[in-house]
Amino acid sequence: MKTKTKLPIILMTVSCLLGLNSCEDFLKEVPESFITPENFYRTESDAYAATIAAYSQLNSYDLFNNHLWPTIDMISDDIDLRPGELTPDLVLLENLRFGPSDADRPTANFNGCYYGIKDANIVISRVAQMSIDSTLRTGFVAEARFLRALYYFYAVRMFGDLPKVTMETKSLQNLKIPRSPAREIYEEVIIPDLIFAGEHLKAIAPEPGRATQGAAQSLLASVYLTMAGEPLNLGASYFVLARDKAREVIQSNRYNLFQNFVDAFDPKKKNGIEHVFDAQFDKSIVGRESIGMWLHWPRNIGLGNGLGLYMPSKSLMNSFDKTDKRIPVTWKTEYPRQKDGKIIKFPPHIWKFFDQEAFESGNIPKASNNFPIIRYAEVLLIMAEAENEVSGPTADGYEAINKVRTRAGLSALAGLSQDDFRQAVYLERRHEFVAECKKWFDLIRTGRFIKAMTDDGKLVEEKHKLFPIPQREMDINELLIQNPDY
Amino acid sequence: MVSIVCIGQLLQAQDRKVTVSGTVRDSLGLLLPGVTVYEKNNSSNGTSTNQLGEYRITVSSGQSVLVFSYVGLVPQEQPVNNRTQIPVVLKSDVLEIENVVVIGYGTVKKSDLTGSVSSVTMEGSEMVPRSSVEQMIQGKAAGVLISTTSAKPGGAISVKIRGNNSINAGNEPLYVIDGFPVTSNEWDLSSGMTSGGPVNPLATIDPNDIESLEVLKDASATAIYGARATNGVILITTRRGKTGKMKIDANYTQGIQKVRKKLDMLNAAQYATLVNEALVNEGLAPKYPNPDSLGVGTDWQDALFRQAPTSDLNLSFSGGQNGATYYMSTNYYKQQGVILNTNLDRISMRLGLDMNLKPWLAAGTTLNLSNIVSNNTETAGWGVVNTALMFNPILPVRDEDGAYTLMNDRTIFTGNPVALANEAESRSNTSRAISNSYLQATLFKNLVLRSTIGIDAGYNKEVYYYPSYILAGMDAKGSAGIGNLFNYSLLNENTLKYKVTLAKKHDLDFLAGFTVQKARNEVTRVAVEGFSEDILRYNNLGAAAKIASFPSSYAQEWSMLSYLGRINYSFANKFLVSLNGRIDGSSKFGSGNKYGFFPSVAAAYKISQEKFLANSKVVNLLKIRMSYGSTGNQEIACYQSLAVLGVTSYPIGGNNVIGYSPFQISNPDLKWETTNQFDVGIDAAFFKNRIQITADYYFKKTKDLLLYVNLPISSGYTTALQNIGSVQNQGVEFSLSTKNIVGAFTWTTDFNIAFNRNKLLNLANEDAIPISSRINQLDPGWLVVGMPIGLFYGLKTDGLWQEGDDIANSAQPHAKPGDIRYVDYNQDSVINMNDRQLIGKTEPKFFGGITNVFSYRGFELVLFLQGTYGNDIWNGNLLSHQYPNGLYNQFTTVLDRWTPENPDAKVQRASAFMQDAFEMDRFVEDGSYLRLKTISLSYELTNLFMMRGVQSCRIFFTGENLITLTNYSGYDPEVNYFGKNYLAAGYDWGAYPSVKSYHFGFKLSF
Repeated sequence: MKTKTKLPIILMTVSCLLGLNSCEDFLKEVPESFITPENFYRTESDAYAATIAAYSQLNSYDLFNNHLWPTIDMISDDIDLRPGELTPDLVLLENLRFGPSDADRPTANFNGCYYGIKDANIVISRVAQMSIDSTLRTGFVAEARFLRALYYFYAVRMFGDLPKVTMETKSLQNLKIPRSPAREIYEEVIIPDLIFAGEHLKAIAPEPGRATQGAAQSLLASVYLTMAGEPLNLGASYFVLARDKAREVIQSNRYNLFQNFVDAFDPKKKNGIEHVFDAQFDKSIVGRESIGMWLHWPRNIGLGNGLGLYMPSKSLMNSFDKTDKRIPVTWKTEYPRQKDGKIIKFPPHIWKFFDQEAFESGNIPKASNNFPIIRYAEVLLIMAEAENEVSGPTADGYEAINKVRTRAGLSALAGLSQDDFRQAVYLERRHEFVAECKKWFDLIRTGRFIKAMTDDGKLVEEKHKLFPIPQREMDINELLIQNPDY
Repeated sequence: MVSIVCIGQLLQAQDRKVTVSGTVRDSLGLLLPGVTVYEKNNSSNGTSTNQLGEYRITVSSGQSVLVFSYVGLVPQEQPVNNRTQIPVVLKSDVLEIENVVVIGYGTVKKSDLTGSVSSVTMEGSEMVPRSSVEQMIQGKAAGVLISTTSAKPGGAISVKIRGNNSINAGNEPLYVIDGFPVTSNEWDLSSGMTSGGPVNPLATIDPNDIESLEVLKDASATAIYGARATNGVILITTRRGKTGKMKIDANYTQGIQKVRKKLDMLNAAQYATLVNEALVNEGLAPKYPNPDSLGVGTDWQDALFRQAPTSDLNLSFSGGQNGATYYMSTNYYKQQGVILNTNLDRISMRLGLDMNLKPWLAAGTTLNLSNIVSNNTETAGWGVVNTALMFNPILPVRDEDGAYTLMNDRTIFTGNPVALANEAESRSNTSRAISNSYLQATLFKNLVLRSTIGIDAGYNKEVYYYPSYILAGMDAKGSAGIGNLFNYSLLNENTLKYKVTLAKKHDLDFLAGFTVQKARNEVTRVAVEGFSEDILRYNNLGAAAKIASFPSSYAQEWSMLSYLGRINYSFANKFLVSLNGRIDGSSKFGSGNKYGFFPSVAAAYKISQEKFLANSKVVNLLKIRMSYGSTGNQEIACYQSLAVLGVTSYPIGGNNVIGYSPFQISNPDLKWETTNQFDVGIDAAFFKNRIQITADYYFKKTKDLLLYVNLPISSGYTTALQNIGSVQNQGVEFSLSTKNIVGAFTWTTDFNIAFNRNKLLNLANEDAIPISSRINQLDPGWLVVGMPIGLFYGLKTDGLWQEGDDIANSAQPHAKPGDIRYVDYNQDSVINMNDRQLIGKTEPKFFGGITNVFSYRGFELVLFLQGTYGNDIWNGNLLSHQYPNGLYNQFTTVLDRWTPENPDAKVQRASAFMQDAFEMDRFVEDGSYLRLKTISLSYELTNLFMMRGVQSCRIFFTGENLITLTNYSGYDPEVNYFGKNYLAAGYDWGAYPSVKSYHFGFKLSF
């Protein structure tokens, strides 16, 4: 082969081999569809987006859009699983026959809380370091601390001792931690978070649905009330704290009850004067619809397809005074058909999460109702209950409970003994908060759980006062000790 | 005087020219055109046989000698001896022409191989139409376990060479076609919008175009592919043209497929009886007043399944002249599926050109264009097979007016499966172009520079539509979706080879190379719902009322940079040594670990070249070889080492406000999985290659396994990818080829068997972790240190509780007679997850195949059997269909259920409140099987029937999967609900039923 033709070829080859010097850059990964922490957490809108992430868990099925209804309401004596329902895990929950590996709903609740806690922790650690406007920064951190307290509060009541995580998870080391005592969770996380939030959140939310000072204070009142009862039984001093916190909210005059009970659940009257803190839903946004209506609306009656899973129990319905204005809002036994107005009758089903517009459009699984996490009515009843525990029935106590009763069209209470008043508050809570994921918590903290379950015909054991730590967590983390007898 | 006359006569006789003619055939009796016939010692006097094998030549005298020669056959001399008619039969070369085997970046003589390589013959492959190449390897290469994970047309096929090496990185081998590694991961060519899983991307390549196929198994053979070679390499060489007249090949096959085995379900009367019993046993009122009057009802499997035709047509032209050769082929493959409205169609075209531009410069290109269209449907979950099995047999497919029964009346979510299969549309359309071009220059004698550039580009569009009048689309009022995916991979390889022989005894072969690869993938997806007109389907997404899921798009890229080198040394053709090394850099790994080095060394000793064996009549080849080396596995998704934030949102004031939340923790230490493999083997041939044996023992250890470690949820994350743990595989492979009978009647046998033992050595800090293999509500899969990958854990059962048993004091105090009795393994009087034990293993004890070929006078009978032994299958269907709670329809096994009158039953009592949703040994079955995979009879037509110009014509009849021996009760023991996932293999739930088929076809060559 002639040298003339060979040489250029050799040179080309060599230069090709040498030319690719920028090998380092060639192998560097630059994701185009993701953001990495290196190019985030810089601006105000980044901080805002991080905070929104902490809210997003309120919308998920794990908590207020599905799986809290079976664990907190259905297990209680107020709600029954639809007769003939055969979904295995629901049947197990209803009959108190669940264990750590088949308790899918409590597991979802557990996971949902920790996802929320993770996002809150990121805001609390990262946003606190950002150099943005300090008022905004403190505000975001305060919102995140409120949310963290909220998630921990649900988890600690359901599961007891919990792994305590308060920092962003940045590395893969040391992730297996033991459960910290429930009291520690309350005292080192929930209470300080709510106190901070109460001090730094604004009275009026910058946007509807975000946390406010009133929300933090109301939640704290509920926390104190819970700590006063079982299982911590911290007694009188905490009733005092609960009462005082509730009073702060009442005296702020920020909130009031709706005149009509039905307005508290009307999707058109969202984030209104009675709503202290709600989980937000919107059927016009894909993936952000509420399924509350679908879960509760009756099925197979020619009136739109609901699932009708969780129905009011006979004991609940019979405990109401017939003139109670809350009855037609809480449940219905008949409803006019959309196409011709014919009245269709059905067994009693919960109506609180009903969205008329969704019903008319025939798309029941997608509703816009918010989930009322805290309503002003609860603040009043906390006030009444705590005051009664501290000082017996007083004028303040009567005033609080009677506001709720009057709105419900019931006569005002007077002249009761401490115990009668106590029972009256319990009954009022029972009638006020049907299907609002409170009953199980109320039964536990007031020591009425075992009796209520027994009266409801369930084979209850001590162990059922806590939900089991999910089996997956037990399998992964050998430092966890399961709740007794599971 | 006499002597003069005699001499004169002799001279006369010698001087007289003789014209000789005859026909030349081969040992099978086939006519041989193109045979060279010439006069010995006078080679200018020559001719060749014509199309009919006839020759005519005039030789100088009656004592001349004619020589007949033909490629591949033993040359023959025929003394004329004054004959004018000499028919000739040319025999095959007794010692086969030294086979050349393709290895990474080159070829080598088979007897010079230092590594472990299995060659799979393509002969006769046209007699069994296949949609993709992996199906041709099943049972033919020792140590390669191939399993059809889904029997749908174009379904995924898992290929496992020498056991599981990895848990989360890929376990599939690297496929290299004509030196170009091609995409074989189905998610690289699917936008993920269709039901029932993506189409196998290897179905874009027509198996008819394949000339030869090699499976590289040990480190020495595979290390040259470095970071992608841990799972072995499959080298595919496609047909190329040869110099000479244009050759035309046509083959056509037509066949029919039927469901191989249906599952026996209860009929309407039996079902109604069961429902009533389940209710009455729990004190509830029975549902059906007169179950026996309901008769047989509907067989939903019959309604859903059908006989399905399949056909394959391939036409190719090849030839060459003036230093250029070409090969062109087209293929049309059409396969209907046995489930209504499922199918796979392929059109492909291949062009191969090789040119000698100058004596020292060669160039060439191959271009493969193909398009596959597949209609499919979901079979598991609420898909058609599962719903057909669960559907109430009392309900008809259609009512008297012809309208479909909408849905099952015993559960709420399951819609009519026939309606779903017929009316819903779920289609995938993939177009692919693979092109590889090379330029090769011989710079000096034996120094060759070769540069290739290749591109593998694919476009996939997937669409679906669920109309509003079937249950699946009813709530949404019609739902539609479109996904688009574009994928390309660009590869440039530059190699320099040098060959030199020193002192006539030392042969050296050097290879050095540098390669660069880049790949990119872009996907978009949209799903909408709410159509007022079903007729628009997915062709006007703007007509939908609302968005079902946000429009999404995604792009990813990865790149690799590699250096490779090899030295092969051979001493006197007796001792062989091979050194390989590759340095691979991949973008997928953490910033601290981008590059990896993968070396290997091998040596072989050809004992048969020693003097005492060199001329042996018994031993033709006896070679022992040994190799050790390391390879890597980089088959994970991109961006795994980075911390990544994902999008969430929350509705505020009617707006969908976007939030960002991390879903992955960063791991800058993320790196390769590395496998070190040791192999020792023997290659031997005896009795003029009538017996050929290959045996290997290997030992592999894979460390730095990439594993999604489960994290406690308290961290806020559920998993993180880390390099932890290690796995070991060791095993023995044995293959035997024999020519049992040669002559007019021949019988050859090819047999291979392999034993592999896998063991998980350690998982960093754990002894055992559950894997996410949730199937029909249960999670039986575990990884346990000290055991093989692929384990089922659950409760062991001990029959059923009987009347008179002391139930109250047992671990199941609430049980009733007829309920399942569980073993309280830890003796704590409670039945819970702590009583779990090992209940099954998916690793086979051994597997293999045997092919017998019989031929006589143009007839050939092929019998191919293959199977596995000792592997277990998780039958997820049993939790739904051997669970007599009166909800779903059941297998007929529940006819033998416990009642007080039938206490020896196998199945538990009917109960509407049944709560046995545990992982248990009752759901594990033996998956061993032996299958008559192929039986094929063919006949090579002789010239009596042939037309002009037709060189050969073979007609054949083939039966596939006609006999399967197995104890497995599901549709087929080759199944995996989780597709090619090795961590979770051997799971069955709602599988696409497997088929047996009958084919007829012919192959013509012109």
